[in-house]
Amino acid sequence: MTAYEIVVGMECHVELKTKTKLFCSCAAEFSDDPNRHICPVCLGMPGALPVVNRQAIEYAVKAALALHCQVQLTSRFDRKNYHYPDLPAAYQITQMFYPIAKGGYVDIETSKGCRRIRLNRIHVEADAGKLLHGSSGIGGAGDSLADDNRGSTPLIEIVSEPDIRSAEEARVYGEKLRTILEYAGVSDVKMEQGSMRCDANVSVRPKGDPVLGTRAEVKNVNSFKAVERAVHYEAERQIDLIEEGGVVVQETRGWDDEKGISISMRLKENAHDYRYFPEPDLPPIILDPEQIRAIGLTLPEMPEARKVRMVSELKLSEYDSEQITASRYTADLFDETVTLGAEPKAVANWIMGELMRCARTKGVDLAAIPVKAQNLAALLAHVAEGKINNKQAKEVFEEMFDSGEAPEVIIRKKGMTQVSDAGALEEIVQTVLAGNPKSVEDYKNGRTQAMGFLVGQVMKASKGQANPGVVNQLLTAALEAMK
Amino acid sequence: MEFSAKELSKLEVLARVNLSEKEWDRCRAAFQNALDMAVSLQAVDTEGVEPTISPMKLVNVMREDEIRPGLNRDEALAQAMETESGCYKVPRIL
Amino acid sequence: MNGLTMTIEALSGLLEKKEVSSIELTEAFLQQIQAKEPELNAFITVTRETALEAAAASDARRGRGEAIGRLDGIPFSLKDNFSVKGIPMTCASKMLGNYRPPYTATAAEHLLQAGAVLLGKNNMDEFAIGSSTENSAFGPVKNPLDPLRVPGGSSGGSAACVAAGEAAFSLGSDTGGSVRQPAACCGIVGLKPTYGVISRYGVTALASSLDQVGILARNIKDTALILNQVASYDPKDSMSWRDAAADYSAAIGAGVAGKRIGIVKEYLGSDMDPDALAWVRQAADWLTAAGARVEEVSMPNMAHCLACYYVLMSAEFHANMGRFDGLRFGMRAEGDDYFSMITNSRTQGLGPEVKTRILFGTYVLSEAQYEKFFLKAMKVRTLICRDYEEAFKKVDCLLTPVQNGLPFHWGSRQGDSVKMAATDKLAIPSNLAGLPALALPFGSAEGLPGAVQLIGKPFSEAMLLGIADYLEQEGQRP
Repeated sequence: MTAYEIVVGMECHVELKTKTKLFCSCAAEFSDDPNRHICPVCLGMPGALPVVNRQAIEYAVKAALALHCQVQLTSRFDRKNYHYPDLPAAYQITQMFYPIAKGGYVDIETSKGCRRIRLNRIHVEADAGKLLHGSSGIGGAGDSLADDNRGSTPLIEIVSEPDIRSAEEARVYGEKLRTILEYAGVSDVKMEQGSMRCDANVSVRPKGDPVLGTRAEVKNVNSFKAVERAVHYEAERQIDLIEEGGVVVQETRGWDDEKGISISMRLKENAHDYRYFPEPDLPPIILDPEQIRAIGLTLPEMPEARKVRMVSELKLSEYDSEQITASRYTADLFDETVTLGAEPKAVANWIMGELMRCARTKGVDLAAIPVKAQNLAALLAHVAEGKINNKQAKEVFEEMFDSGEAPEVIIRKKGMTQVSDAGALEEIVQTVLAGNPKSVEDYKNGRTQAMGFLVGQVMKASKGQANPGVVNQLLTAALEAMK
Repeated sequence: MEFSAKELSKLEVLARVNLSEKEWDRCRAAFQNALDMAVSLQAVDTEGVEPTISPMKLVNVMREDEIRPGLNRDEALAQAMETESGCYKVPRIL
Repeated sequence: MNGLTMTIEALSGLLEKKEVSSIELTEAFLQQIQAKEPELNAFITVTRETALEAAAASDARRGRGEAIGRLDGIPFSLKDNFSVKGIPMTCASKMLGNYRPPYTATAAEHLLQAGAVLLGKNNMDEFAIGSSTENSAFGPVKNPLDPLRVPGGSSGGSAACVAAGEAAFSLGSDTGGSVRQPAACCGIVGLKPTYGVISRYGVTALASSLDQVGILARNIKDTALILNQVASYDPKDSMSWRDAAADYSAAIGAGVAGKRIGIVKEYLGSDMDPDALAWVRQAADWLTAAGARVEEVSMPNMAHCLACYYVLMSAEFHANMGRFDGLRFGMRAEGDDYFSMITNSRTQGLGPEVKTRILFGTYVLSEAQYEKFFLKAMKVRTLICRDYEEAFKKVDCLLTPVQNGLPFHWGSRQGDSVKMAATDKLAIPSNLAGLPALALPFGSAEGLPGAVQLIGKPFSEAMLLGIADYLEQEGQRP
């Protein structure tokens, strides 16, 4: 059997987090209530005219710089003409001929090592509205409903070169792109909510063949895991097809994540001709290099650079730094907490442990976590000073995670104190020893694991307030004396 | 350059508008004349000439990112012939 | 009441002296509309109620000594492609039969703010495609000066209504002569300012890079007065000029001595109508006599204007027309599915001229033809602009015919959109270059008024109005 190579290029649409739409002053925020953020411009009413949102251009430039693109000194908008019910003016304003940025790259790391995925371009464009389909969906018998709240909100489309060679790479590319854009602060980048949408152009070819195969575009992929599955599925489908003597047709396919398959979305009349031409209602955008440099200065330290610094200066492991820098929120929280004097490894452990656990189990978005660096630093200081023990600290942290309150407030509320006073604990230790003769006997016979049980009993008797270190010392001393 | 009926029907699909046979009979000559005229532009020497998109030589016309009131939903939907649940009603999409 | 053909200057004088009220004035115009409309068909919508309300409000202001300015209480009309909140806008198409814009065009807003009284919306060629106002879903407009001839177009309703004393002035739109040419046909003044001087916001687009709001008025002073009111920077139109607000009456009465006037050599050929040439030569003589210097300039690329215009205009028009699909506004036809519904709506709602133009635009923009036709036309446009730049190194303004002779007769060019557009051959170039151009009644033939055109550098409206006023004054001398 022929060995095949998978070739993937990604087209990712990312919603910019401006307050208003790209071409009008309607709110760009999401709304469940249809057609509440609309005006003559985004409804395509006769006579209405577009005006560019300056913030959207600045965000696009920022994203381009974060992705190492060449920001173009001259860019323009174009009209892309087609009829669809979510496009009121029957043309989308986008950048075909002179995009805002060209080139650039994303470095990714997979199980197979590091690779650089080159970018082709980034362009700015207006999003379409939303279509709510009846029970029977697209192509079904039912009517659809058009809601223009999202219509004309600003997007950037990031187009990669066909440099991706596996389904895993496609997923990691998407994840890395999300991380970089999150750091750049230009988008919410939420796949599930549609503020980031990835289409994959997938083709296969016999290994070593320099010619690209016919590609299919897989759309409607709503998570990074789905990207991996969809690319894998599509490549397999194409290989099977070729092996059976068939031919891959250029088409758009929709991914059905539940069924794990893609379905051809080819329209009956496959006569796409978008009749692009320069948008006569909008003058060009001419950036000066100084302005681009100034926007670049507003970028935070990007994940790659932070990782290197965390490893070399703060002595974190590669693994830890990778985890911490995967999102800007955790990276910022880490850096700020360390700046406040906390021990780096301890901070990393708390973030990767308790914080990620809480986020996962409670289903909270990282960006929405209210835990502040000063509070995390204070919590760690309480533990380090022995004011509360680790178990108590976890309880406090969970509260901090839910309410955003300072640890002192929570400790006071819960009446938590750690008993480190040997005199006060000695009594409990003696009671526990007296009540557990079997464990004492085990210990004497060299089964040191019995110690763990006894410490636990003392902790329990002290209602969790005993300093486990002190308890350990007291128990060891008492047991040794009994030998 | 002759323009064929087959080409016309391709354009009709793209533009989502049809001409009846009677209408086409009436407009065919005009269409052909327009095409001949457009072809005549080929003779103009435009070597090294930049295209003009707009007569207005402006750059960087942008607005600040500030929310302003738009249209009231009822007001907007009142212009549509078919609406439902605050939306524009769309017949099934094939 | 012959006051109906009085200038704004005269009418506002009467209002000021309280010899007439705005209500009386408005009622007089409404009566004239009632009398003339069965024959002229210059209006699609007459807003009698709101007009009388606005007139009453104007009179009340004046009674309190708070009149806003010269236009307060003056009745006017708008071409029916201007949006005015709550008032039907049809663009003379079945497609928009029941559409009431939920917002108001900036230019209209400026007039309403100044207290002018809107009488109604004027008939036009459907979506402004045409040069004779024969292509209206609401029937053709008659030329009040000669019922056998067209009133010009596409702003034919606006021109006819001002000429017939149905309104003191009107606003139209000019993409390739659509204000100047009907003004010339009906013996009134038509001004298309520099692209960007009057906001296009709220005016239904024909070809976005060519469209400009224009003024149809009885004389030059009125034209300047209206321009002062409607010219302004509009942040809602990205192509709006920052310094658009200015005093455009400044050069009126300043004379023409020392002005350098250019006559375009290419417009003097044997294909030109002798009357049209005679008017230009006579105007040149008068200007020379007043101390201006008239010289010939050569503009070799004018020969390509019509082809260049037709390609660009059709392409932009096709894109601007996509929105009329029956979904969010306008007429909606039956259809089993979305694409059938929109195709049926467009097919039934739009007239044949409009549809043909849309299809031609689709053709020149299609991927395979883009470079050959659209890109090429954009480059030729550059050459045309350069011809003007060269000419304006030598002269301050150009003096040309508006159209090739008197208005043509009914039906003589209908059905041939190229021949129809050729009517605007002399008006089109200034749209391609975005220049200010003014049509002024001048001379006569066969008992009908003739006209000449002045074309200037960008933003030279004040100067053009000054020169035109001189010619107008000379023409009125006994």
